[in-house]
Amino acid sequence: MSWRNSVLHLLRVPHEPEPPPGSPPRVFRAAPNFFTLRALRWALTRFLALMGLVFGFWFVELLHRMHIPTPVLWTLRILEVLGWMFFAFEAFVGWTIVRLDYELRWYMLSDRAIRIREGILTIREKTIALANVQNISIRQGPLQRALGIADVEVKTAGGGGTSSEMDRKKAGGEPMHVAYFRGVANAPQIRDLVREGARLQKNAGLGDPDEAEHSDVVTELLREARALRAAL
Amino acid sequence: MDVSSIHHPSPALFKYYVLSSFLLGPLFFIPLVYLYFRYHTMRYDFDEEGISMRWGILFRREITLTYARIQDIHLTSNLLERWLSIARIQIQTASASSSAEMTIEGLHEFEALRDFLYTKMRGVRAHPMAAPQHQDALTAALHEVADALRAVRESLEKR
Repeated sequence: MSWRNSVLHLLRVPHEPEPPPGSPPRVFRAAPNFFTLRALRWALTRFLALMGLVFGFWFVELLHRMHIPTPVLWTLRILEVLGWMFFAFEAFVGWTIVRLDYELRWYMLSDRAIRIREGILTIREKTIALANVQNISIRQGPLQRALGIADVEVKTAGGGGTSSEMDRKKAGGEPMHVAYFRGVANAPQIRDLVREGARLQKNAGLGDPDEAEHSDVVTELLREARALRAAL
Repeated sequence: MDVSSIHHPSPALFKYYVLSSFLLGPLFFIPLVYLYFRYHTMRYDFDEEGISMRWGILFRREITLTYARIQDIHLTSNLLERWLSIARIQIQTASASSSAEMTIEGLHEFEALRDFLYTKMRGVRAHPMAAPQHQDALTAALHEVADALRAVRESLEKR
């Protein structure tokens, strides 16, 4: 696997992320079917690009028969060759990235925080303290359901940006207050663990009521005050 | 790590700014002028309570936030930044902005700084194991009030 190592070295991909604060984390990985899904997406987009190139080839041959001036025809042919070369290169690089992106993702969960590391060209490492978790949701599309995987979304307070996933993808940014466990096979288990972890935090979320800590003392105070009044 | 000694970004940040502006091709000088002044005016101050960061020469900007309000910390780096061994620490509070509240860029010691911020931020700092002390003090005070009341009642009953 020296090819793989040299790519990782060239891209300066760091090793496994450090564990988040708290107890030694449980590490979850994306399910193998997550890779299947990404590979399918890769194949589909490459197939569409290939159709475009084939159409271009056919179109140039059509022009050839229509007695177009030779320089124009040759310019088109050179462009075509460049297109094919770029296609081959891009497909190869794209495949490497799809593969590495699947292998190099970590979803860590300790008793205090979540740490998620993903990405190859741009590496994002998100850490969210469980005390700040506001809600958890699971998303599953029809293809994901067929492959038995789902995405777990963990949100913290604050929002911003656009509401829908599509708009965000167009805007090209990751939402800041959300962390995703993408393509996991055991989404309900992760959801339960995160909920349990968040529940155990003393001051979870914003605006939670304070716990009644001094109820014993307050009762004692009240009893004394009543007795004092009775004694007067 | 002593964070209070951090004031300036590393020169690698300027290299990153130059390289990333050249990616724009012939229009590189437009962002480069802005980034040149941004790099040269960027100051960080880490004190007991929080961080302040400022930059700008014509339009100045200063951001101050307290450690206790930090909610999430993200570490992001693209290929160019990793080649220069820097990264961006994006700090979030519970505000409704879509971008990060503060982005600390251009520091080589980003991992140590991030770990330092963790020890200070909301939710990690106030961990149940490290129960807040004023809670205990309040309980103790209430106990004392109850004892005093009891003493008053007993002396009243004796009369």
